Amino acid sequence: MKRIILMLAISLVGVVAHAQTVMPLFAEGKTGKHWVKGQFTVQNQTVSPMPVSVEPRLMQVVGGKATFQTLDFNGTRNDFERGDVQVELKDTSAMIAPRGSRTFDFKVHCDEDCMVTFLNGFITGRNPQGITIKLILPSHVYLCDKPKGCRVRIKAAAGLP
Amino acid sequence: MRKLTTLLAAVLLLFAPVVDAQLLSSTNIAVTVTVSSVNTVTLSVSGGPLTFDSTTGATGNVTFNTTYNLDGTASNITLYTWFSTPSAALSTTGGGITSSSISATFTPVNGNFGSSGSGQPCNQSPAVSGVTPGGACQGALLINQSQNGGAITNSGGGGLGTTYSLSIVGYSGLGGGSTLHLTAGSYTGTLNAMAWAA
Repeated sequence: MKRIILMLAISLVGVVAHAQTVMPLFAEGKTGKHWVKGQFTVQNQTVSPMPVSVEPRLMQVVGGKATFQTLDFNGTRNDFERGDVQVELKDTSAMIAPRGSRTFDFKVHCDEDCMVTFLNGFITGRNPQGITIKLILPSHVYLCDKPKGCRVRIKAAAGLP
Repeated sequence: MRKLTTLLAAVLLLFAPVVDAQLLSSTNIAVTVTVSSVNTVTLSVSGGPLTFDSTTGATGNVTFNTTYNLDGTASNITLYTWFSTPSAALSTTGGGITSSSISATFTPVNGNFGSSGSGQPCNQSPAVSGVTPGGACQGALLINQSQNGGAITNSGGGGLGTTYSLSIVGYSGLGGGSTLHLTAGSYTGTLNAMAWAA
């Protein structure tokens, strides 16, 4: 009986952990006239429904430093664009059931070597008196004229770890 | 006569010879079994909240934890944090705090992995917002190949994380001597935290 009470007490005062998983972490493909199709999956590790937002970003080197630029949404073509980079992302948000997962489909097109990152994020909880934390797990897409070793070359050129 | 026939049939069934069942086997066929396991990373946060103390200019702690299942292509896992709007990382009515006036302090949960850091303003790279680099806090290494004793290929984590807090650069209290004078009010903002297996 004492052990049960102790366990209940621990569960009541225990801290809440918010967690999500993403897979795969990256994909590689080829630049050119054809679009590269792929998908990634976000898992909800918690026992509560989790709203997730997906934001595509384009990695560019600005002033010698890697910067993840936003992409402009083209309502006519229903895709995200920046320069010669185009990204089609059918869904940009979802509500994931407890212990469930959601797969997002995408298509990416680049004329030259590029790195597109999908930032999958969710708010851990609103904090009216301080800082709200948004957890993000990225899934990257690397496109090169020569797909083999594409990821390593792009990261080296951008000074990324 | 009919009864006799039925009785005879029943007797014959009782004494029917037992036929042993035979197992007939076909030739062996090789079937390829493929099991795919993709790279995954999990990120979680516990503790908090991150609320600035007006007397110290620092927040309490949160703990970021990560677990992973990697195939050796990633050489490290790093936690990057940044504010959505660097020019107004924290804001209140009539005022705000830029990200360059905020620094992150972090220490690894497990002393054998990760890195510690403190004091650097949150205007580092890689930046995630805007055109101009800057807006990210110092990256917190969670694990690298050297600490792992080789390529990061196995599932792991759990105890892999960092205890994290924020503080205002040059904060010396609300009185004289403070290099940053804060407008009275509740400061709110959003801190983005990303675990990147690179």
